[in-house]
Amino acid sequence: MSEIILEARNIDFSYMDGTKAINNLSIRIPKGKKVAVLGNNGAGKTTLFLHFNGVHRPQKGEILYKGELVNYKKNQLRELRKNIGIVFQDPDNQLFSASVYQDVSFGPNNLGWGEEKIRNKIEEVMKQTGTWELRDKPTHALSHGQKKRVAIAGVLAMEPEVIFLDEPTAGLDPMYSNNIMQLLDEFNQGERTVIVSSHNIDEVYAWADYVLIMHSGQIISEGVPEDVFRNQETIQKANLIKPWVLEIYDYLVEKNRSGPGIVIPKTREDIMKIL
Amino acid sequence: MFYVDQYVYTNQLRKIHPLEKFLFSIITMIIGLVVNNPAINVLIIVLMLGVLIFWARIPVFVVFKMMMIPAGFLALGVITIAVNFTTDTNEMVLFIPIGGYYLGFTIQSMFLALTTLLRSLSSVSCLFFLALTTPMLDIIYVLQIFRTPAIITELMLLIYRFIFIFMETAFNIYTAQSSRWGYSNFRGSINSFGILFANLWGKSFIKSQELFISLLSRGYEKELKVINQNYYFSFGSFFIFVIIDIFILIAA
Repeated sequence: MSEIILEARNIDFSYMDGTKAINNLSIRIPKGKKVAVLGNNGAGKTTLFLHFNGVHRPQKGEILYKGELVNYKKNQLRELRKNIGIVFQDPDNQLFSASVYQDVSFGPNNLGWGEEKIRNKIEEVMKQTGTWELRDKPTHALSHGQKKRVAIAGVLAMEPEVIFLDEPTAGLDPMYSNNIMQLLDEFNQGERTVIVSSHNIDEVYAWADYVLIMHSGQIISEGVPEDVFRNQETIQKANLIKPWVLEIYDYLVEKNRSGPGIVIPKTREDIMKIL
Repeated sequence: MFYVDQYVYTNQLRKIHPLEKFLFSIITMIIGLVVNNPAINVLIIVLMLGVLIFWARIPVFVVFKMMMIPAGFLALGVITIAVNFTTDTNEMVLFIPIGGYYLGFTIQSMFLALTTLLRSLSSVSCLFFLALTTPMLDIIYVLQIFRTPAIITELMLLIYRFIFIFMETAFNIYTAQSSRWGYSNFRGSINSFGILFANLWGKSFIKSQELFISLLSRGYEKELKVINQNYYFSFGSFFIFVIIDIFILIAA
């Protein structure tokens, strides 16, 4: 296995109202991969990632970043929050400024960069996310999809090593979703880790290198997508279904219509080639 | 009120440096208050509305609707100035006796009421010039130039943003309720409104917590540190503003 960038060891976390969000969870996130986290609402996905950037502190267990124990000292927290970016599900909870430009500038400003560097970075990420044309508009005049891309720009601007996106494509039309997934691929090219939580199984199956399934505060399955999704028991437990491409492929193999190929098909196009 | 916001972002003066617009508005307002001459106030009103309509290109009906907002308050205030209540009818132009007293107008009181009205309207027109051409964040930027404490400007920033989220949430709850006949009769309306209000309260609280978490995630410590897009001083507009103010001063 490749280098581990984030690790959680036996962590426990309950909210103030007594809800147990994380239950004796251990996980190792490989560096530079495209990781997908699946699981129903309330499974603890967001809570887990708020542990990784130091917003939540585990009540039991420990968090490691690049093999180093997180000690919650001020400097280390800063380092952690710079390097682990979180894009929240509802952009209205993240965009605090009525100016798109101001909002994107917030993260880099906190890092204490010079103004010139910040301005260049803002322009770069806003062009990357296709939000540069929106810079003069007030936040409340944007559509949901536009707000989401601005929220992503705001996190990318901090140059994080790991970026976690909470349902980045939920509520978006297929074209926007595709754009966002492509953007994440580009980001991943530079050796950076991208983690996405999603309910879209087919999308995750085609995109991810590594899949985690969470269920009531625990990781119940992890591995490469084709292994994880073939485990009928765990996917049922998490209220998921097998991706259709994999389902059809397995059916074809079973009926001897196709030999078990070396490369398992991932997308619509892959499976069409076999047929 | 909220549809006004879109003109603020699309008017022709949007790109002018906010400090120019701010100073123009405030200086003109001060001239209107200091110079004791109703004709000058009329001149200021005409010039300000002219700038809004012909230069900023804000539709005439929007400008006049805005000017009508303070009309009610002004009318009440001005009438109380114009009306006198005395025992003496000497100088009264028009009066009605009540008991041993007289209620009526004098020439002076009417003139005083008129000057007060014009002064108020001229100040209001200056403020509306600022309000209709300068987005809230630009005004905050000007306040920062004048070293306003961060707590005030940050609150303004957040309040302005959250007014829209608040309205949107309220409107969504309202639609959901009325699509299930929540407002079909008086009793139901009272009940639904109560639920709407209580929900808004809870939602605002949750939203504020989530916002705080997301700010922490982006390295928030004590201050909302942001930078604005560069504003550019333009000598053209600066020149026009100066000319207008000099013209008013000469006329005075």
